[in-house]
Amino acid sequence: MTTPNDGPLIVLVDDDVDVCMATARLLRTYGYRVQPYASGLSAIAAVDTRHADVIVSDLRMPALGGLALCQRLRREGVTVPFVFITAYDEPGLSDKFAALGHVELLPKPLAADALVAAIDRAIAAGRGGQTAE
Amino acid sequence: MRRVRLAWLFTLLLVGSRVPVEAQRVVAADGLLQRRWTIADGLPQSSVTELVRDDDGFVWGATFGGLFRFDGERFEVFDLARLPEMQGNAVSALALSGDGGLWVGTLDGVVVKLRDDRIERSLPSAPLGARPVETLFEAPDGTLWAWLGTALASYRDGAWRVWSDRPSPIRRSVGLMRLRDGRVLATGPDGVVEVTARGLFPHRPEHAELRQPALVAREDRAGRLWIGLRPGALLVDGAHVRRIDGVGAVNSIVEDAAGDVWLAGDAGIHRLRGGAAGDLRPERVDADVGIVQAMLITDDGVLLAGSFGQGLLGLRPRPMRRIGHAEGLPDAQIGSLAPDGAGGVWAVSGCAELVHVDVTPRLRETVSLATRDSACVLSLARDAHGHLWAGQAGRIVRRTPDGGLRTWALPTTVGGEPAVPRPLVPIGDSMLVGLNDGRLAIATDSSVAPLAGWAPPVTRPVTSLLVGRDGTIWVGFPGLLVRWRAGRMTRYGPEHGVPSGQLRVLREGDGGLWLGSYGGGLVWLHQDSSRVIRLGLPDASLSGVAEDSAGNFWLLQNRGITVVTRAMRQDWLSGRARRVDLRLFSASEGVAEGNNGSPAVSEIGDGWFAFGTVDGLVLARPADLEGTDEPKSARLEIVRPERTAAWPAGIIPLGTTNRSIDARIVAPFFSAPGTVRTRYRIDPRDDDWNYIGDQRLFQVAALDAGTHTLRAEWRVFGGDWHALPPMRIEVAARWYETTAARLLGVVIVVLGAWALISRRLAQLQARNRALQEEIRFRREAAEAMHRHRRELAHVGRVALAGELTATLAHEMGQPLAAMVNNAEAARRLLEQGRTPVAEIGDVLREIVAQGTRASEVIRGLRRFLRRETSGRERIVVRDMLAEVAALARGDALEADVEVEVRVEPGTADILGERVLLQQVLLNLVTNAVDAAADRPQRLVLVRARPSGNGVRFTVADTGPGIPQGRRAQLFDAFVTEKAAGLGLGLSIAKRIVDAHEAVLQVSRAPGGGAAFSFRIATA
Repeated sequence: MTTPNDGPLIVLVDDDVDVCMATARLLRTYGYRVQPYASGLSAIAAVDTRHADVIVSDLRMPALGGLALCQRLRREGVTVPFVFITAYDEPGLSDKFAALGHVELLPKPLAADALVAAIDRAIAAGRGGQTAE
Repeated sequence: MRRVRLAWLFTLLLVGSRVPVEAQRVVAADGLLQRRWTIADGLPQSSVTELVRDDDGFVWGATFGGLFRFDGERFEVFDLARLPEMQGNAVSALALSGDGGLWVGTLDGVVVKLRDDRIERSLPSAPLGARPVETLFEAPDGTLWAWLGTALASYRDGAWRVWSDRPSPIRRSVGLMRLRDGRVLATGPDGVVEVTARGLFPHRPEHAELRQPALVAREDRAGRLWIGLRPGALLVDGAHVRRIDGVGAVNSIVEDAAGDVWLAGDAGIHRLRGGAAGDLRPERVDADVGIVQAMLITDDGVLLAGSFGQGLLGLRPRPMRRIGHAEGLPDAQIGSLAPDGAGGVWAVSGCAELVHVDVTPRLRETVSLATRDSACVLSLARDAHGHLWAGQAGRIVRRTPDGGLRTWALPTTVGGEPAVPRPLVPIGDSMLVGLNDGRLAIATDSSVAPLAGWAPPVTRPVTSLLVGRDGTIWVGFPGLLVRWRAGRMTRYGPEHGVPSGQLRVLREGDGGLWLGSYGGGLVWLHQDSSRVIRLGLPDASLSGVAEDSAGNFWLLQNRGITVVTRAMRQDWLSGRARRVDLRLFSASEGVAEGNNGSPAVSEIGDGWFAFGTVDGLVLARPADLEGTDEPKSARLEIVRPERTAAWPAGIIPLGTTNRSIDARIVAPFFSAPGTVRTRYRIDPRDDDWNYIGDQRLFQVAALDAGTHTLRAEWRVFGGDWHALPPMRIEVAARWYETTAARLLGVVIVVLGAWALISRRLAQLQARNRALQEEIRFRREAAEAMHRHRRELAHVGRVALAGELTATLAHEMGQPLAAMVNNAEAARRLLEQGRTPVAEIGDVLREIVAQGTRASEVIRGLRRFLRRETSGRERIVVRDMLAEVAALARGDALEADVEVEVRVEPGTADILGERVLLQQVLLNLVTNAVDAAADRPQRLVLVRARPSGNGVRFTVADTGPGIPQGRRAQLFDAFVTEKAAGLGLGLSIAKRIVDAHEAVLQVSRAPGGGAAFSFRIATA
């Protein structure tokens, strides 16, 4: 279950390389396959983003932020669940996610348990969604 | 009755003028210069019946329009208006008195004596009734003799005595004169009679010819008696009486300084050359003068003739000699000249005829150099052997004194034309030749060869040549002067002030070089400094220059010959002279327009110079012309105010109303009145003389009260100054110029000054108070400014706090998140127990790095905050912008706007208040981020680039931009709209930028958004 080659695929997007690598390293210890990207633009250009089990993305990034990344994938018809991480406490933000399918918002600094729990919920929701189709 | 007699008299004279004269020689006016004065010149009437010369040299004349005094320059008229004692203006007789007075008789029979311009006495009427006073004469014993009509009368001791009175066949011009032995002669109906206290006796009774009616008698210097008849004249020479015919009726006889005797009357003026020593053949002077009634010769040799109806005529010898066509020259147009070495001159007459003339002037011989192709002689020169060289187109001809001719052909010009050898300048026994294409050649006994080393600077005709004293060769061209010395050529052109006309004359002098040009006048060149001074000549055409032994220049010009004295030149060059004082010999002096010979002027020895003109060869010896003739006397006359008898001698009293004086210098000078120069000064008012040139009249105005001295001096051109007796001017004081008034004035001035000073003091005090107020205000303003700064900094800090909160969350959040994640990962790896130690080590190293990074953030923040109080400092632009970008990152991320910082290469450090500038930039960036949010393209560019001696900061966005109309109010509007929240108001930003002596500008960014920019000076 914990082999990196057959676990759920997580696409991780964070413009802070340090944070991105640390988070990837952490998630791998949970048995996920992790594909990190350092910007929204590189993430959206990648094919595996469309096939990931879940996309974990920083919300604020230059050029293409997490929300924009999500919106553009949704317009493509990609329904991969999103887990957003944000350092800012922004009330009302979750209202914007209503039309974006499964989206979770996690505040920084985040606890590993909370992240993994959110990822698992998202995977489950994604599979459920796919099943429903 | 008088009028009838007068008319009859004139009729007789008119008839007499038509008396045919015998065949006679006519003297062309050529030998004499004529000048006529008429009523247009101030003569009171056109007929002058009598002329006398007083002891001072002034000429007095009688007309029927009054009496005049003439000094060669102007006529001072004495008529009835001025001398009412004359009772009429018809003056008919004049006679000098032994006491310096002048006897004046009129047609109305009045006899008065004029002295110092006033009637000194009036004689009682003669017992004959009113008869015209025909002649007056004062005998040495003081007896006044008079012809009163047909009566000879005398006046002595208050009584008239009539000696003879009978009808006369001649009616007029009966004379009285004194012989040197003291006897008095009368000429009249009975011929020449001796007048004595005992009665009348025939003079030289042995000569029957002397008994015929006579008009006038004159004794010459040799004691011979000349008698004017009607018609003809007699010469009583010892025992012989000789008759002279062909001269008409003779009214007047004079003898000049040269011994010629002049007879004048109703057939004009005749000259008997040599007087009694001559052949007694009268030469009629070709002067349009009609009937001459009186003549005299002035002290300076001018013959004045009073005519009937044609004014006053002056005849004088030409000051310069001239020889022309009438004297035998083939052509009066004279070209080039060369001395003959024996006091004469060779000259080109017309085209190719050479004439040899002496200074008599007389034509000695003529040599023709005419050729079949009519090549005119264009230049002449004489070499050291006495050979005469002549230049013609294509050749040079040399003539030896024995008449041998030798010819050298010249090579053609560069353009294939015949070379024109002009000018020719002798160098020893060779001849330096200038050609018309700029070449120079040397002609020697054997050949004509190009001058070695000379390359023409221009292909233009050489117009003048000079071999300087130091061997320098000077070459003149039109508008160009070339110095050629030791193979080196120096050019002087118009840029140096060289005149643009043909340089005709080159002459060393006055420490430089004089250049004479045809059209450009005379200029002086100092060759080392290239300084050029132009002499202000009224005639800029110059054909030639001669320098006499006194160093004076004699310039041959279009207007004639102009003399520039050496002193004049030196005064001009030194800047002392304010205007050029020149003496001109023009056509009225018998000098025609100068010609263009090469040379046109030649020194021919013994002080003589020859000048070539278009009408004759003029010969002059300057020493004979200048400085010898000058007025015999001169005086200062006060014209206004009019002199009264109350004036003490030498004093001019002036009243309080009119304080000006018109004064005139009068000097009897008839030969060259225009050469008299005058100057005056008022001491102690004037520092220097007032030069009035050839003016004689001057006005002294606006004199102050008190005593002044008027000094006047005169001289003839080139001569020495002569002082006239000074006159004292006493100007009466006006009431306010009196001592009492002045004392009062002083008191008033002192009081006024005191009042002014008091007022000024009060003003100063007020000003002082105002200054103190201003200082206080400035101090307060400065304090307010400080306060404002502090407030501004505070505002900045408050704004910063909000910004920092957002930024810290991000800046600190990231490393913390990374650390937490890394630490969690490491913990789990250790728990799973299968992880290599190396991987755990990597994770831990990253945690350390991220902690360090967080510390860096904190440290940077502290550094940033510490700088708030540091004032202006040197700022590294890149660092400052990095911090700004970091601060703005929160907003930018949130709005999904990319902030790009670009620092152009070459951007220097700036000097400014770092925190405030960062606030400005932060404000601009956050505004820009706001503007760019929700736009298709969301980009903010923060740019710094070198600009002049500063750095220009630009913050541009991709927002909607700011409409043109709103830009002006932008800085105000934003204060109210965005005072709170993130960022400072734009107005505060503007004030910070202002405080950095910069301007915050807003413009349109390339993409349509807004661009804010300002420039900060480099450190």
